Amino acid sequence: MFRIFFITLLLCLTGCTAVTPLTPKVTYYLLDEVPLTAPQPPTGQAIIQVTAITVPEYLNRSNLVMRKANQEMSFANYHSWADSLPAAMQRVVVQALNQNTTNISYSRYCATANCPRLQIAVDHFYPTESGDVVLAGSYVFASKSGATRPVPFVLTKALESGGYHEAVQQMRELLWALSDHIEKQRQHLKAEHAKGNPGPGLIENTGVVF
Amino acid sequence: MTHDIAPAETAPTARISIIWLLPAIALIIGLGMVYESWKNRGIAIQILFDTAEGLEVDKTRIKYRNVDVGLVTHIGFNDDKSSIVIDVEIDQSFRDLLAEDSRFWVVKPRIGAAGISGIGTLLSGAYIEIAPGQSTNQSRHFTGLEVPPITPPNTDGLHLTLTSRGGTPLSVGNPVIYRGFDVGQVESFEFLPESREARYQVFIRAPYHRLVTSNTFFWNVGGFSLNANAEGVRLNVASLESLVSGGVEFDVPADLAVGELVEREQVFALYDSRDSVNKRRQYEYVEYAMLVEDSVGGLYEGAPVEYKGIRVGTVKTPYVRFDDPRHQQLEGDRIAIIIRIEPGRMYSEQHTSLQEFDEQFHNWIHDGLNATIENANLITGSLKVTLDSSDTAIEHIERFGEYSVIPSRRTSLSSITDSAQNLLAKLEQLPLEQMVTSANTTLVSADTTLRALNRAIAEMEAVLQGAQPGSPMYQSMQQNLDELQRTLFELRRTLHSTEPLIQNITNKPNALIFSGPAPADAEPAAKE
Repeated sequence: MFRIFFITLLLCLTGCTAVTPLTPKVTYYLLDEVPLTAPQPPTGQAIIQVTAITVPEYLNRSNLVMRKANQEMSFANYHSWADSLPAAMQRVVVQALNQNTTNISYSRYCATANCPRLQIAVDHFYPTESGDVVLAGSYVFASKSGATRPVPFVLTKALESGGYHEAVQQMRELLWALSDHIEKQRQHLKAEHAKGNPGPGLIENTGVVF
Repeated sequence: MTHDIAPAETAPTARISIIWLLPAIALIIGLGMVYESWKNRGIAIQILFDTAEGLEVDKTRIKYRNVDVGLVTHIGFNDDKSSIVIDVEIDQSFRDLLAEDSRFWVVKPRIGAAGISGIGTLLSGAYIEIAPGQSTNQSRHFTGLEVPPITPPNTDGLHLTLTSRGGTPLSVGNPVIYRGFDVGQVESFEFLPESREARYQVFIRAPYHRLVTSNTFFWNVGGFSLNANAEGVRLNVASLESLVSGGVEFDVPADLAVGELVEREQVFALYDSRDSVNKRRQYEYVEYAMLVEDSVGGLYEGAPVEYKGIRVGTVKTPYVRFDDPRHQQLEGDRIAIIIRIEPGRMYSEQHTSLQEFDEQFHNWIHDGLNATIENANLITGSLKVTLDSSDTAIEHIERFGEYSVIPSRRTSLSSITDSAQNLLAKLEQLPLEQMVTSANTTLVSADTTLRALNRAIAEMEAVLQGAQPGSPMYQSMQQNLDELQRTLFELRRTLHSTEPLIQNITNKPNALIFSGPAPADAEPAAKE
């Protein structure tokens, strides 16, 4: 009796563990590219903290997501993020911002609670079945004395060869483009602040070193 | 030769030689001079002084109003050497000055309460001043004054005598004041041990002496007095001199008409103050009795009797002795007090007679008038009698000997005392010892609890201190929270990742065993 049970169990386990040579392997992607060494900011230079980027729930997962036609979303089984997507996005944005500026530093951390902050909220960040990569959301500059009005952004790039591999690269490029957009907006706000005009984009004069 | 010589004729010669005419004339002249000298000699008098200071024989003159009237002829002692006898020769023409009440004193430089006098004698030398008296009898022996009289001799005015049994003593020279005006002076004073009173001789200058009438009152105004009552605070000062050295003031009370003029020396009582005049002056009165059960300690003779705050009388006898025969008729242990009701304090003099007032007062007693003993001064504890009306009419008025009795009621203080005694009795019945013991135990326990609480608070403060932002504990907690947050985030991401599997198993429970591998993922295409 015991033999029959043992053999039956063995067959069942064999069926469970059998993997057909046709099963694809899982590919893990990292949004960061090769890390770049950012220059050491001089002592006393203002620091803007880039807070954790908020993403929708459907993006807050390890599976890569693709949008199909008719608002259908496809979650990949064999293509996953190696790291948390929001954390990776934050690292890429900080790296890109520091590469684009010289008189101010961006950081994920701040030693005190008085640092001005850059808060980014991403609503769409995925490739589409038709060959586009989309990055959309909004960001605000905030400080102790207040915050700017949310600045929306919608950035897209086209896939030349297709596939998740290129999609990840284009998604990274979109984050660099977002950083460039943010820095230009900051320069604009700084100029408006120097003139004393709050400008249409400011809720109030925060007095932040924009 | 011989001649005949006629016989000589002889004539009788004078018995007295004319040569004696000159001596006779000289004698006559001499006798005349002696007679003249005897006729013009002065009147010899003797004056007794305690000391001969400043006096010299044949130099010290006697003056009256700066006119020489005599000369000191001899200075010696009396028989027992206790006084100095000054022999003085007064000019005959001034015989009239030697009345038996004439006064003599030595004028020399003096400094006293009245000021500095006799400065002129520094150059001219001392002399004896005479103030002739008014008597018709003459005298040749006088006793000199050691101190010059305050009032200049023969000054028009009025001499009075004031008697006092207490109060601030007066001094020679103190002013006599009438409504702020200085009208006289205190001339002398003496204390009589027999009657235990002080007597002051005062002089009031003319024409102010006409202000003194039979119902004039004199009071002491030395220093100042301060009155504080419902009307406010009043500082009374008669004059600057009286403020420093004392004085006497007089006037007729406002409620009395001016009496008969006083024209000769009279004795008046000296009151301690203006207020004591109102309090202690004598009024006509009617006497009544009170019978009380309360304590009369603090009630004194002369204490006020008041009706609704108005003084209407005086306590004559604070308590009648218990061996008084009239006590035998009383019921219970009651103390008899005799009071005087003085209508003059309430009405003008002509308003009512004493008999009419007495009848009216009896009617008031029938209508409910009663009396109580109340505190007059909480600090000194003195008492007074207070009359009040009530709605309780009585038919029969009790008698205490010859006095009608005013019904009395217990004082508010007595009622308060009774209530306090009842309260104390109740307090005495309380188990205070047990309560105190229990309270002590509770306090000890509370103290222990508070100490433990204090320790806990101190430890909590230390913990909170360590948890301040920037502290290592805070940073460690922050790191732990961040780690926890990341873990939760990963857990959520993992759950999201397993959601399709769970959904698949839900749809097909045997998918774990009998399902094949998932198809390959659809990937984004290249942009066309």
